[in-house]
Amino acid sequence: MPKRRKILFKLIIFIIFILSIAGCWNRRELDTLAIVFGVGIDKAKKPGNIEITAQVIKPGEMKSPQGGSGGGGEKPYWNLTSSGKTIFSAVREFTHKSNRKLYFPHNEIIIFSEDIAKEGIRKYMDFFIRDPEIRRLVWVLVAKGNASEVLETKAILEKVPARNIAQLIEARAATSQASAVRLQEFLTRLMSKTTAPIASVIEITREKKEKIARLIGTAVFKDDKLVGYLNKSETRGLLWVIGEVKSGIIVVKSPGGNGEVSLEIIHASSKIIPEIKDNNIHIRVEITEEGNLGEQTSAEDLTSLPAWTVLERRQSEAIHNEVRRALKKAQELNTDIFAFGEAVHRKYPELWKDIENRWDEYFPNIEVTINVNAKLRRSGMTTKPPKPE
Amino acid sequence: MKLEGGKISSSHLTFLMIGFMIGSSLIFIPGQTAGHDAWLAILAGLAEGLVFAVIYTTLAMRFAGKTLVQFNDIVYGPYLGKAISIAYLWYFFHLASLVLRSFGDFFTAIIFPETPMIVFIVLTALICATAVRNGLEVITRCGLILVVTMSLAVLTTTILLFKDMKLTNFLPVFDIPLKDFIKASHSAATFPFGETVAFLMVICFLENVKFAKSSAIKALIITGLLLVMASVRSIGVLGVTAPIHTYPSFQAVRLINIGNILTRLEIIVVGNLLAMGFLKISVLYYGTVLGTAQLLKLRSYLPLVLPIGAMLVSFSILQFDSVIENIFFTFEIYPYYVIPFQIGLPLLSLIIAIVRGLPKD
Amino acid sequence: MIALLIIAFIGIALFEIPDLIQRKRWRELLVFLVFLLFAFIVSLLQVLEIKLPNPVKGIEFLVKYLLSVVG
Repeated sequence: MPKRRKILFKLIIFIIFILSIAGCWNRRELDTLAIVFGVGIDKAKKPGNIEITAQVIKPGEMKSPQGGSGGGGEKPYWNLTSSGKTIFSAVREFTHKSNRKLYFPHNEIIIFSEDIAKEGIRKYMDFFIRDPEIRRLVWVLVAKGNASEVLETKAILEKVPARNIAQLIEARAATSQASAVRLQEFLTRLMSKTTAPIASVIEITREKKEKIARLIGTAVFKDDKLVGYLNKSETRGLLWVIGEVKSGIIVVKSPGGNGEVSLEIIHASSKIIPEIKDNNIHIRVEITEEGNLGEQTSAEDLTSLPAWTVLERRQSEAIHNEVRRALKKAQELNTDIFAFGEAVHRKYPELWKDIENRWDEYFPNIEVTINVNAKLRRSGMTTKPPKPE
Repeated sequence: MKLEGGKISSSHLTFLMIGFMIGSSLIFIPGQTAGHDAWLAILAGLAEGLVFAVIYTTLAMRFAGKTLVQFNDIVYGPYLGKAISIAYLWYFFHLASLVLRSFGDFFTAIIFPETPMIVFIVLTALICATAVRNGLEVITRCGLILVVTMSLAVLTTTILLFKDMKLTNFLPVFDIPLKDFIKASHSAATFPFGETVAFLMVICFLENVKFAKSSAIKALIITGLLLVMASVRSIGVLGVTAPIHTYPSFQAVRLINIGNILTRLEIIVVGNLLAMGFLKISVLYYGTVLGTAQLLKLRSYLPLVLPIGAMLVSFSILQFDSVIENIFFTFEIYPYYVIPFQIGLPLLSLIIAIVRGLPKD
Repeated sequence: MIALLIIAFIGIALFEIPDLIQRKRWRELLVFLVFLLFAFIVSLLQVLEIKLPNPVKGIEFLVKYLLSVVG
């Protein structure tokens, strides 16, 4: 008897676990979900409200081959908009328009429109970090213009604009002239007392009547408000300092005078060293770079040692200038995008307690020394330019 | 009167203790209040915890073969001893229900927001009840397998996050007032290291009680290192944003991204929590049930397992209304609440035992 | 919910009692019934949403009081 009871008991346990293993309470089948790839946030017409645009993919259209005569069929994505006082309420508003529930874990980008960013975005960040569905690896961007328009740009090689933009961000490593900021990094900067947040900038250009998204430069925030932009070379100046330069081309004048030389960045790293000199805070930035000779338009032989040294020096100067420009812009805007404040905090924790709240007074006048150690390593498949000896 | 037939070896004890201490502390990393010096707070807490462990194991070795409930009678006499034993049983019971509740909170907050919490709590309690009914040996064997897997998982996730860690997040070292640091490290000592007081119900089943001290110390040190690793991982990856998160560890592992392929590994943390929480609840549950049976002089503890399990479930729901109350209790009240259980009474027992030369055979 | 609760507790009772009776373990049976009854009453009150005194609140009060005396 006890044995039979034991078997019965085990059976009951098994049934309970088998029923619960399927997790049937919160089950979400793929065909009941609207998978969001990108989110855009704009100002709504009604004052104080925001308008949210979610780009949802249509799995059916994704599958169909887009070949043949012009593809013809419908767009493989759907841009839904809704508005509300808060992001969460606007997101739930979507259920009035979409039969499927919006599903955020595959979201790749969050785009803030320029005017929303100028008013401050801390109040909109909370939803994105509190909601368990949203990942910290999404990219944060600022759109020059409307965010919803950016999500409607034509993606030629991709099917979904949001996916295209996310890949533009990954591809920017080839020039290092646009910032790439993940939500986690943005949040870290937002939570720092002195470091200013940055974000990528996306703008719309028109080519042959098609709207094309273009990723360039950096958006700079003061606290949580957009205060300005860095252009291409300023952006690279910033990335040199924070050690985010991956690759890129530096164009310098040929040592002989006529023609240009393209140098490819292979490897770069940096160090920020705060120092106290005569009771003044002083920042030393050490940048180490390695490059290759990638192209020359002049006819001279650059692989001689003297010319090579001149090239290396010009490369250093070019980097130096870019950093100077970024620094000038940052000091004009009074935004510590380089995290100099945090560097001082780490090295002089005692001193920092005094100046922490007055960093805004220090930063615009802080003296910065830039030391660039740039090397040229290789010259590619050829040594001399193609011309008769 | 023999309630437990099983015997455990000293290495099994080590593994069980590691699992027990890791328990829910991989989720609520101890010493969090020390900010980016949390890892230092854990090390300081470990030092304090080692003192506790030496006291417990000395007691256990002195009263070899007797559980806490049994030797309380010898030290304090039959009446006061019983009262103290009841207080301890309450503590084990309460701690088990706390862990159970943290489980429920975690699952409803992160993974299944719409499922009622009681579902997780009942299922977990049922699994633990099965383990407890099967006896100590089963729990220890589970411990062996689960702890090895868990350590590998912590190691792997930490390695995968190396590239996202910023060592500068740890600077400047020791950037908090001493008072806050002591508070944080004491909090780390009481949760989880001091909780090993529950092992006074288990150590007596050791095959060779001589090894109790060395296995306990080994277990504490390994746990300390694992927790330091987990906290270094969270601080290195999350930096200043670590304090705002309900579950920093989970958040840190969520950031793993190796070439856009190896992502969404946070489920590993959930698995760890499940396995380690199971061990912790089972040991505490076992201690409560065994202790109650000894107190009431029963011939078997088995009939008590399910009724006490039902009480655990209902109490874990009852005690807090929200996760905020849970966090407040864990960080503000708990470090003081446990002082008599973790340090006061064991120390007193040891002193009395030495002065009166107990146990007299 | 109440039905589920009652089924669960009857299940527990049926699972343990026959064995205890068979082995004539009356003391164990008594303790078992007392504990089970207590658990049942507490859970039933909870299901009926009747406010029960929360021991944790008592602990919180006590700790805060002692801390204010010490500090």
